[in-house]
Amino acid sequence: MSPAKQDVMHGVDLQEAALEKARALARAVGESPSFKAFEAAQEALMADREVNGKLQAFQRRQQGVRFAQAWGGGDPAQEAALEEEWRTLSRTATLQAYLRAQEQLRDILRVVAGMISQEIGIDYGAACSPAGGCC
Amino acid sequence: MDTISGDGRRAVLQRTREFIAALKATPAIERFATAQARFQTDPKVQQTLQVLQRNADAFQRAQQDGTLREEQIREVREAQARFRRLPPVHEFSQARDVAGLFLQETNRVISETLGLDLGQTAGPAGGAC
Repeated sequence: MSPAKQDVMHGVDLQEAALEKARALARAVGESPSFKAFEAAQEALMADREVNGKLQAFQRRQQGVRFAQAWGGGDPAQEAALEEEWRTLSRTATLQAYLRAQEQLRDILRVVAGMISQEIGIDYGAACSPAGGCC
Repeated sequence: MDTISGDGRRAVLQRTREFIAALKATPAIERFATAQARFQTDPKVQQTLQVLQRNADAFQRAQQDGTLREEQIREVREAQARFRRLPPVHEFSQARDVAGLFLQETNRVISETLGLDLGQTAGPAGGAC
């Protein structure tokens, strides 16, 4: 085998090794108490039909308001009503527990992404969600 | 909550460090590190960067004063194009793209294993969307 080809093979092995370490990291996150708490909170939220229905209705209205905003037709009264609706909704116990669990999981994931970004010199979050996240 | 600062978190941090070490050994990330170091230390690149910065300042001032000339816009564009053609800049840009693609691949693997998007969850725009 030519030295160049050996280099390529070696490179592929190193890539595969990094991907395996990525999987090990994902498993460690999956086994962490904050991830388990998040999963439990998510399940509880899904099982709470009342809050779930309200949440879906809220999200539909939120989409409508955002759409109007994007097209320059935002209605301040509607936006205020939506905010008030969110305040009421976020006081329900299941949703509060879910949001708290999500924030705690996010904290640890931010630490992970921050360590990678700092050591590699590329923003991991930005590199991995090129469209700028979920919005 | 106490639990997140416990063993689970320690294990996650340990796995993160191992992942980073493995990442740094890959050709894509090694190439990026080399290209970045050269970009940051190459005298021609740094000198051109300073000129570009001065150009940008003058451009902005002219824009504010309303004295921006067609010629000035062309000069800035040409200087930027010359900058991008400098070999260390070109290599840095390509190496960053390749490294970015590999990071995306690792994120895909993590997200598949976890059932949750790491980059997006931890990313800057990951708010209440």
